[in-house]
Amino acid sequence: MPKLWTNARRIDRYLRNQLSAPQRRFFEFRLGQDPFLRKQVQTQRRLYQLIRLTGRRALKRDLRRVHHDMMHQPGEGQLQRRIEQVFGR
Amino acid sequence: MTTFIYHRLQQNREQVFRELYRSCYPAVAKKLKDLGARGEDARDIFQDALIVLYEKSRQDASFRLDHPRAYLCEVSRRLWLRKQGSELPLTAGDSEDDQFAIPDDFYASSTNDHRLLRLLERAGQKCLEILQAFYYHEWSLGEITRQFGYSSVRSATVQKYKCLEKVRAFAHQKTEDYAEAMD
Repeated sequence: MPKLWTNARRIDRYLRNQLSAPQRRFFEFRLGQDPFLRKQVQTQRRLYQLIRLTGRRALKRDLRRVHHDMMHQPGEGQLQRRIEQVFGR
Repeated sequence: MTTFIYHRLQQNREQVFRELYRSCYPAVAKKLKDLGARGEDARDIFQDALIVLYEKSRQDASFRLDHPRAYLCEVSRRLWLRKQGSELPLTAGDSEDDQFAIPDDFYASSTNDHRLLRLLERAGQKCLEILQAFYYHEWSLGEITRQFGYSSVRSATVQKYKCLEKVRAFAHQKTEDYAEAMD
């Protein structure tokens, strides 16, 4: 596996709490010594957050479709009537 | 629905969402209307509450949804208050393991985030789907191998890191202020 991915993999295991206690201590020691590694960890953490946000946006798109179906399919008349009772047509 | 919701959402997410629409949406809509929400607000908030439930089940496979209506009503109430900019009053039941907790970043994305997210979504759909499967849906590498048709877990692992690098490089290339956005 190329060095770049090996590094990404090690950071991944650190961020996902998958390192053993000695491995974690050693990694954190390196973090204290190496500003470039610190920057890589920070970038990878932020990337994960952005990936999770894209996952949330994709799920929201799926739910909009489910909502549209539920509010328009003839078989869901009971639900549609109950929502109309709350908000009107 | 009185079960470990993790497994049901894993097996057939859409069907669970449809069941929750039938059994809970009218009660949530009524509660939100009483709090001043309009129909479109209730639609958005209920979808967001389902997302909160989904994420909770991904993070805690032992989470039980014994009272789905009460759960979704309370999460929806909190989402509505947060969207209105209200500080949630602490109650005796609030704690770090609060089952109704909403992620801090739920409505906190900045304009910078939105621009980056749109770019990431154009970076390559298959790569993003693999990364979402792993980092959002919390699939195991074995599940990713099966679902995406890789020959082995090792192939899926290598692909995952290739995709991470691709997405990182894409965002870096496409946004002049990427470094700032990453800080």
